[in-house]
Amino acid sequence: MKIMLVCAGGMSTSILMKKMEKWGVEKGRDIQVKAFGLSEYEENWKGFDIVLLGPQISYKATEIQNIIPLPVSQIQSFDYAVGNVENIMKQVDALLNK
Amino acid sequence: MNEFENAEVAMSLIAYSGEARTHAFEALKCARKNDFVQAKELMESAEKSSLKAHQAQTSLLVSEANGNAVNLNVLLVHAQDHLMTSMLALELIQELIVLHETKEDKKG
Repeated sequence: MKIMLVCAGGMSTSILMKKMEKWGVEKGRDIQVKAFGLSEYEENWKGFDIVLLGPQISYKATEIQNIIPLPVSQIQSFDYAVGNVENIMKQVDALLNK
Repeated sequence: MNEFENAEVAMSLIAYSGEARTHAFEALKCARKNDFVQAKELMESAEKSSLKAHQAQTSLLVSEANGNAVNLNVLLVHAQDHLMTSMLALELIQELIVLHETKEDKKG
């Protein structure tokens, strides 16, 4: 599963990216995660399965959804802050299994 | 405060100040559609999130005041950047909502 993380500059999501990759290895889940900034997602979304947004750009969700034909979801602030990958992945699975 | 805790604080700062900014911009959207009740509610949520971000920042200040030097890294600088941007956004959006409201009053 390929997950695209988007935040303002791609910096804080890259911290989360590391945590998600580590979680994937520990749980034996095949997840590939890449972090992008707001200026980059448009050229790079192809090949991903889902887009997750950082809380700082959640207000752009509709705008992003209009551009990208993939499921777009917002990460809850608490999960983002503490890097609760378990919860984030539950959210991803729920969305993709609809 | 060790490096790991430091990163947690930085991530909290980013997440909650980001949440505050998101609520504020949504409030502005409501004000544009003359939904001032919803706009005010969203601004209240924005203030609440901003407070949480502030608490994260205070924990750093307290730690430093107690003689535990905070390990300054780019992530923390970036987090402060987010906090600053959000605080300014909140103040300005508050004013913009008032402007929208005044404009609507004059029409009616």
